[in-house]
Amino acid sequence: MGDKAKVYAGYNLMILIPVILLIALGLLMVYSASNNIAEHRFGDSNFYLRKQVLFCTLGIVAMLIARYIPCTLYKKLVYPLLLLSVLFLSALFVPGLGRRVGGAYRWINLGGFSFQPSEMVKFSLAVYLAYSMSKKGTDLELFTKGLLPHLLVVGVFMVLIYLQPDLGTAVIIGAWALVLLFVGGVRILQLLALLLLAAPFFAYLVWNAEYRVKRWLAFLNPWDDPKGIGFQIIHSFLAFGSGGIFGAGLGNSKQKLFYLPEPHTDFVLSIMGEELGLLGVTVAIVLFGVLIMGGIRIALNSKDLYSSYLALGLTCFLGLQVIVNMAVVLGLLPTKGLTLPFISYGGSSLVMTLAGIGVLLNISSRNSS
Amino acid sequence: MKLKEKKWIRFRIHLVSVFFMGGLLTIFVRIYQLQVLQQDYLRGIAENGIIGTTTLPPKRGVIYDREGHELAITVQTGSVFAHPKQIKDKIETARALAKILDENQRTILKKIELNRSFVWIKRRIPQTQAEQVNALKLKGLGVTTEARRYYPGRETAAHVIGFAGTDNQGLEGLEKEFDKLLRGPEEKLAFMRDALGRPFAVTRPTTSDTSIHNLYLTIDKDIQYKAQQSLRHAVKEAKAKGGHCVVADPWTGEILAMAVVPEFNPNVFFHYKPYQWRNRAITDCFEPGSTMKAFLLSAALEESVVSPLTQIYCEQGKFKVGGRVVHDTHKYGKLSVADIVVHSSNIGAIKLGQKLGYRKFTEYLKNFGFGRKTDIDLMGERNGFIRGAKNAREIDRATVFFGQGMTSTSLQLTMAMAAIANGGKLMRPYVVSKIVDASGNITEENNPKVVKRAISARTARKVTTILEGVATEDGTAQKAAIEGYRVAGKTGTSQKVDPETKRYSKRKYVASFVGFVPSEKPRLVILVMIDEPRGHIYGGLVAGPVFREVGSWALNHLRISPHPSLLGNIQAKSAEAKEQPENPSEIVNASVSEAKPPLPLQSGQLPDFKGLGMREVLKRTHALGLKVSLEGSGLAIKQSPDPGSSLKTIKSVKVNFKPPM
Repeated sequence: MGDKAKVYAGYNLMILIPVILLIALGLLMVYSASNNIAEHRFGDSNFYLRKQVLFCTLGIVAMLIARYIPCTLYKKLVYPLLLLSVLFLSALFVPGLGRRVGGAYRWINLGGFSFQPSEMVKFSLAVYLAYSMSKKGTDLELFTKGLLPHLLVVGVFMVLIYLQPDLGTAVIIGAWALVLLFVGGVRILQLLALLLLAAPFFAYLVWNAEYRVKRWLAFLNPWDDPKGIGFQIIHSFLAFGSGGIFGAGLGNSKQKLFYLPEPHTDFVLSIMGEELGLLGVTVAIVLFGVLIMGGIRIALNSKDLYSSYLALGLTCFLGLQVIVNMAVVLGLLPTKGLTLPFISYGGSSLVMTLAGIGVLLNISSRNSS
Repeated sequence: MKLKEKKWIRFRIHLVSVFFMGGLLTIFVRIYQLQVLQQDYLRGIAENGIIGTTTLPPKRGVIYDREGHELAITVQTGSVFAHPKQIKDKIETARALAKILDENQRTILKKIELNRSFVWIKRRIPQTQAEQVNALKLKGLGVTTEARRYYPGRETAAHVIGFAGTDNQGLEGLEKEFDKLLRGPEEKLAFMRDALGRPFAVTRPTTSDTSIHNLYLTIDKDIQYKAQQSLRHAVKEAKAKGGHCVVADPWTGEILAMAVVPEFNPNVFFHYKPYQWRNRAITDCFEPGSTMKAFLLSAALEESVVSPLTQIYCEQGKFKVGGRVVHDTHKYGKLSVADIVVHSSNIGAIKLGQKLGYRKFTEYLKNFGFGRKTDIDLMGERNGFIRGAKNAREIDRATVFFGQGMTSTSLQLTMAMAAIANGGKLMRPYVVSKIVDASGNITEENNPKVVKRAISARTARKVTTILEGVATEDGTAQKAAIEGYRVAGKTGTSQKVDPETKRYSKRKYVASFVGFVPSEKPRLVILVMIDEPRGHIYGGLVAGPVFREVGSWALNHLRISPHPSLLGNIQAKSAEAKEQPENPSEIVNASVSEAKPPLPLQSGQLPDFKGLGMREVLKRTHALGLKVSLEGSGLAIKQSPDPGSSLKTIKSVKVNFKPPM
């Protein structure tokens, strides 16, 4: 390893190449999966594609800017960033500011365009954890200096996100924080005890909302009620199955026509599986794998602990999102509204993910110089 | 501090990358399992899982009357289908189905013995029945919901609303005309099998952007019902072929009721012949007869050819014109222009018309809207016919003045009379007041529209005064009189052309009455037309009573207060009229006592008026010889002196009214 990373004009190619290919694959799949729906809803089959191209452009600009902002700047702004995130999350509950989509307030309206504050939360928390963990060093082993304060900060955000309500994102943020704390040196026994304590609480939250129970049941046995709760997941299976090894060909998905609701967002991988087959999906998995390894390599090679943790935090979040989304559409995890980075349709997510990639590239450039 | 110096952190980061790689590997294994190992199995379901698809009829918007009562609604029904190939015990299944569906077991058995993958067993049954079938949990049977159009008022306004067919497509009337707006998105129903071969149906809207609109009509459900009821009764009594009754607001052109007899029930429209679906009040033309004298009078007065008092010699009932002899039913000598209309002298009308001129008269007819569509928002309207001056023979130039040799629809006649009622303006009639989308926004609204001015307000007033004479004991339509209100109108009794001989038939007539009430401030214009009555043929006798019944009922319904000064008079007169030996064909004499049964009245004591309408209170106080002062409107709530007071001590009584909630 070491400093052998391939670099072109100061860009880490192990990051840049998979990102560009994944974006291209994403645009292709967004168009193929959404043209029917867009035609039905807006009378314009390019509706989603056009918006996604715009988000892409915005995201790439954000990535280029972040590439040249020294990552140490965020460290100085960590508390304003956290405060801003809390404000945005709270603003969701202010009538008129929060936009309701499918029964939950996850979007905030800012004159003309809307974005998801939880995307910003991810970044702020990554900066906070990197800053705090690098500062405390070996003190992390102590419960009062390690696990407890971080748990409190992360907990506040989890509660706010859970209230949207978005239990899935809250849980992922929690899991992600645990991984980082584990790397930072929190004792494994403390982490295990925490998991044991959290499990019944989590179960209570699930059983408290009917739709969450339904999602669990659908996950455990989708074939029990194929026209009701198991509908999505079954058709996701059917999509993968009909794709086979080589796929039905781009644009030839049948499931997107009728059965899979929102084929261009959460279930875009199923459509990819049907149209591009095992080969296409494998390419996507490999690209994600290279990207994750690239990110981890940047973390390993960083010059200071803060940069390492920041690179690791950003990479881990991306990786978790990829794995959870894929596991959901494959029936390995219960359904939750999480998109596939770079591939799924969605503005806030794409722009923030690319901005995170920009930060990674910045850290990487400082490593090699 | 550099990470490189911390071996244990590097180790833990490597653990994290192992975790991610392991995760991606698991994902890959799962995808391999689905796409390669289970490929055939899953592809089989994907391809064969869809047993069939069918398009479900779309839901439709609601049609409301002017007060928001539902006239046409969509109800959810159940439909039962089967996948015959999957049914094992066909006889047992058929037996169970027959029991629930109340069908012949053999018919059902035949259906499920078909070598088909999908078949409907019974569609559009009550949902409770469908649920019973579902509860059987028999293999190969399934249930889904389907929308069906339902008309809760049955025949009420059926000719205006029309109906939607079995696939919920608008076929007649407003349902057809506003089909695009009423119709909701089409739904596709896919029949699928799950991995265990159990069938299920999934519905998905295929056209999501079409939104359902609701219609609000100008029709008043209650007046419409009453009009149909009275007309039906009259048509039956007169053993007539049919009839129309149109009730409109003369100021706005809003149609409050449009009745056509014979009626049909749109819920079972297929039990009727297509000609019975037709809204004859706008699609059928007839020779209007003497009702046209009202418009002749209007034209003559507007042109100042005559004054109401101008005397015209009526030739003692026989007049030769164009080589033919025109008769009057009664012999008249000299009659004033007003009396010609009141007594409906044909000879007088010809002579009056000749003073005006044929061409001038037809010009006025056109200004009153004859010979041209009224442009009502209903389909299938006809023009009617006015003979051009060039083609008119001498006899045509004479008979047109009493409404023969030209044709009109009932609606045209109604609107022409409305023009006299409202001071001379011909209004565009309409039945749809507004169209509202699913979220309650008004997308289209109809407002009153003046087509043109037919006559001046002054002439209209003069004509009204003369037409008021028609519904008195001197005129031809005593039976159209409504107690407590001034009625203005004109009767018509026209001969029909026998389609076989092409000559005027001696047996086939059209009896009509068209008028408005209260004539000093008209609120309703009502047309009644009875087609081919047998026995009595005269408009006043046959159509007049329907006018009275519908009119008095509607006035009461709309809470239009009677004119107090008229009550006593008419009551006295109608009492006299009853003593005269009259024709026994009286259809309606109930209108006088229709409101409320008289309260038990102890002689010598003041009765309790509470809950009575103004008209009823006036009638009763008049009968007791008391002066009365009325306050407020609606139903009586308070009176002074109190009920039970001795009548000897009371000369006047004060009653307060309040509209019911």
